[in-house]
Amino acid sequence: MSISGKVAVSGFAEMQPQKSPGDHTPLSIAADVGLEAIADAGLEKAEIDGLIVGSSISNPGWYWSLAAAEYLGLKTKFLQQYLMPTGMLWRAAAAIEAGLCNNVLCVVGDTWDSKLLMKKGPPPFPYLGEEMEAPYGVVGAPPGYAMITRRHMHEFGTTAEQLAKVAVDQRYNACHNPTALFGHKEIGIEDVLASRMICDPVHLLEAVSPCTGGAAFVVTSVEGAKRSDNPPVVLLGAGEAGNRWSLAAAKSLTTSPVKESAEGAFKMAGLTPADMDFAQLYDCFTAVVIISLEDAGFCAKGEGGRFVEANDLTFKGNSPCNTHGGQLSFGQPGIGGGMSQVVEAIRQLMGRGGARQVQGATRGFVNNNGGIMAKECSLVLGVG
Amino acid sequence: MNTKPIPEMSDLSRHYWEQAQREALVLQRCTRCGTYQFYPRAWCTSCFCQELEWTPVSGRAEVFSFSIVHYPPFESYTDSVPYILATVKLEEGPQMMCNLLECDLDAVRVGLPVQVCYEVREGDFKVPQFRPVGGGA
Repeated sequence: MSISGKVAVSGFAEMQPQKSPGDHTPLSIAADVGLEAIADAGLEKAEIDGLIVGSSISNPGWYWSLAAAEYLGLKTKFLQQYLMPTGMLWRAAAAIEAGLCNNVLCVVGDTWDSKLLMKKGPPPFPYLGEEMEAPYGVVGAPPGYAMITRRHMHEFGTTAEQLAKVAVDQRYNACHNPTALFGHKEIGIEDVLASRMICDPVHLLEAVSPCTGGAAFVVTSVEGAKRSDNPPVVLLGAGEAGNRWSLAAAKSLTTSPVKESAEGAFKMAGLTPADMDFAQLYDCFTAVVIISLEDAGFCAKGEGGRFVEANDLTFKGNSPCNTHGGQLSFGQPGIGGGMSQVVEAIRQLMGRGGARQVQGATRGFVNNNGGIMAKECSLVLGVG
Repeated sequence: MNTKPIPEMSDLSRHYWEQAQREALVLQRCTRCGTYQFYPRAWCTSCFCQELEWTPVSGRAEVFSFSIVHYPPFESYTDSVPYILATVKLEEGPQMMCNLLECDLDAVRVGLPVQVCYEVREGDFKVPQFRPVGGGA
């Protein structure tokens, strides 16, 4: 049994990211975007019988999915809390195909307090490596990604300019996205390299900016998707891979589980990277885009730096990538930042990309990353 | 006073940290297949037996990757930036996280030979760290 071609995304909604929480709470955001997505899918709230809700950084509760179901007033037959929005989509598909439920709302909402990371301690993210890694000041994501970036530069000669190019092209895309957090001013490679060093070799403009926001989409059977006025965005392939937690334990810092997750997704879809009209790639840091392009097969291993240098990643370009601006310029709402990549793929395939629409886009690749390039989940989506 | 974090040790890792107080670096080694492993755990990562024994190791390693951290992860590190965070590959195979001490920021590179040393933190607690072989770098 394959889930390829069996379900479709029939509606979505996304909140405009903002720097401060204001009056929002993670659940109020989930309700706002959730109800809007259900309406966009042409469904009534009572028809939603499955819910997958993203974890919240600001409220990491055990019973979060129950709290969300209660807040939204949903009666569910399938209920889960999950981190990766790409993983939400195929899990929803599997639940529908297994006959557990018919219409699944996948939703992420989160608020962000920038002071969270500067507490005296203990570190806000307890994890397996806490005892052996936190004492060395490796807390949060930037130091780990910086070591991945350094190693890629060492092994393949990837340059600071090539890494910066990712941020520059994505900023151009963000300037055509009215909801992007950083979409008001284009930047050049020199601006990226002149920005403050966070964790050498990662500059400020190559590091994601956590924010408050959220988004939702509705997964239903291909038949059920006809209820919506939107063109159905069909799940063609999914793949997932992950096998470590501790960064120090990684045997390679430059080959990621995207290799397996993308291979699985393309195999299920019966398609290749050459068939894709765009790629929406998790981009907490610029090196992640370069490594994901390599491991997904858009270019050879080690060639990612030269690939982004030689190709145009903007929505008008020959290799459209992160057409909403990526999390680097759109913003990263809480821990579920990868939701913006899934929603942008859906939006593009529905032809609702507005000023940044990739003309004629019918197939797209989406990747979400978790841990420090420790777990990856890839999707191939299509329309028409 | 160095107020950087003191690890909360578990029963499984207690011996590792106790030996560090005596300035000895020890790793678990599988008596069946010979694999060294880090961090300490209950099962061999290679053959999944539980016949592990603590073994002193050379403390020689080389830098696998590194970052010069300019942004403090929390307040006790505010006075320490910029500092070098590194993953080092021990001669015996396992990799571990550390800070490179007594190392010029300009001198650090992938492949740099390093040697274990010990940083004294609050309460005279010693934390294994690494410094360039021959010092200075």
